Amino acid sequence: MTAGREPGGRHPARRAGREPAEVPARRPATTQPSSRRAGAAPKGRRIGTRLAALSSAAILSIYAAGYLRTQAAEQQALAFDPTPTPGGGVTTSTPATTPTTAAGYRDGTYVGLGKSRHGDIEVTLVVQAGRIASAQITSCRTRYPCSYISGLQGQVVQRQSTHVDRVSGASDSSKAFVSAVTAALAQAT
Amino acid sequence: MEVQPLTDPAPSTIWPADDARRAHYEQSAVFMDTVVTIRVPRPPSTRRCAEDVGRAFAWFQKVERRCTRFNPGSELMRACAQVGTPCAVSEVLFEAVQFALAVAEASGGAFDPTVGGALEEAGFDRNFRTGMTHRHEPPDGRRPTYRDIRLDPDRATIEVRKPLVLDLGAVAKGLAIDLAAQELAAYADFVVEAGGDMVARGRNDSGEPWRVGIRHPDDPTVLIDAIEVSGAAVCTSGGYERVRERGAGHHILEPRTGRSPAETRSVTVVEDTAMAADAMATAAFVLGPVAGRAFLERHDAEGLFISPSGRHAATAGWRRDWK
Repeated sequence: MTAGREPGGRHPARRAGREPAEVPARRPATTQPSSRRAGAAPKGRRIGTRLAALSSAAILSIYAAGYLRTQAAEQQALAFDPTPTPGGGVTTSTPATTPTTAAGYRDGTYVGLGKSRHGDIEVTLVVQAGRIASAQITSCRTRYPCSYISGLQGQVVQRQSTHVDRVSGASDSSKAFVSAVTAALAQAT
Repeated sequence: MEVQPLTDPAPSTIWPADDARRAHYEQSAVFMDTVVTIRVPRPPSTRRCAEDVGRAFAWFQKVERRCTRFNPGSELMRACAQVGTPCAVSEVLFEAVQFALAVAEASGGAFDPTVGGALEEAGFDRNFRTGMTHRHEPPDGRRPTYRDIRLDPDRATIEVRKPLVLDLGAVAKGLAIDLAAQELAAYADFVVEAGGDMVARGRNDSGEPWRVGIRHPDDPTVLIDAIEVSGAAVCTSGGYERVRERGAGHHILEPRTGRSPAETRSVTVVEDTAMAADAMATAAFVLGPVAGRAFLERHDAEGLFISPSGRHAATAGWRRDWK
């Protein structure tokens, strides 16, 4: 009944007793290193069948089924539009070394990224003498023109905060802008 | 491409301090009604990295296609339509449902994937991007629970014993994040983020642990906490951002009553996998700060609860660095 059934046997791992041995050898056996709690003191708690362990087993089981590898053709037909942004050339900024001033923010140049479902906005924030000197939109990958929200840049400087007006009709972009400024400012505090 | 509102709101993510930005590879795409971003600092080969990231994204499409309740033809909805008949399903769907049932059992039904019918009744029957509505007849009599689903691990079948709608919103996105992370297992450093839920591994572009900000539920400009994560998943379940159209409440329902819990505004959970973190955050959200915290601690997960007044409570082991 499943039209999109995988060729070559559906659940090889399950048939084989769910051994994760079919995971290609180059891949580590777990999704994440288990170092998260390595340094933590024993908590004296009951650790029964941890749900996290069940979830890890589920992920490996799916992965080991070889499901994806049998569908290379479908993968090539993937609908998403790849817009790779190899790093390096987008923006540069100077390291902030000046200690925090009385006004609150640490001098320097900070970059923050805000996301919306229409695209990303990158803001470069300059702090001088502890005050926000500028908040420039340095990258606007939204579907809509960035001019809709360009007025918000001045408001950040005027109000010395992330509390800017929302722009009617561009509320998602406004939120992404605020998120970007918040992320940048978080580095300056 | 079909989409489904896997509903979780985004805590703001703090991307690396870009003063030390060096070569990185980053790609974003929309899946599951949210922006998914994969970032790999310092890849040995950009071309190879692009291929690997492409395969990682492919998992989102596979999980979404099989696990959506917004497409009557999806594998999930076909299984729901065959009441009383075991339905053979893919590995992806089987494991997603099996894990959802395990969390339902562990939380005493506070988390319940059969909440799909109640979500439809509450008005969450619309694909947020296409505006298409999907509505099924409400079940007669007793509200269905997770106990009305039978799994056969040997045959990989799912059987629904009475009419119900499964909602895998709280596990499918996390599962896709984890599978994408597994696909990138050869890389020491990366982050896979979908709408504020993420797996972060290794170090960021600056060679430091990834920093994750947890924002105030009502004010995206206020950061409640910021934690450092390296080798863990962080997921937030919250009752904000997607408010239902009719009546009071939001998109997370108490399965046993069909109402939205009001005690908590958001719960952020740190766990080994995003699937566990997301599902446990949803369960803890329904349970509330007291029972929810006990639930998380019992399962050795860490969580931060934010109340409507902005006060917050955390598990005993909550700290600011997971390295």
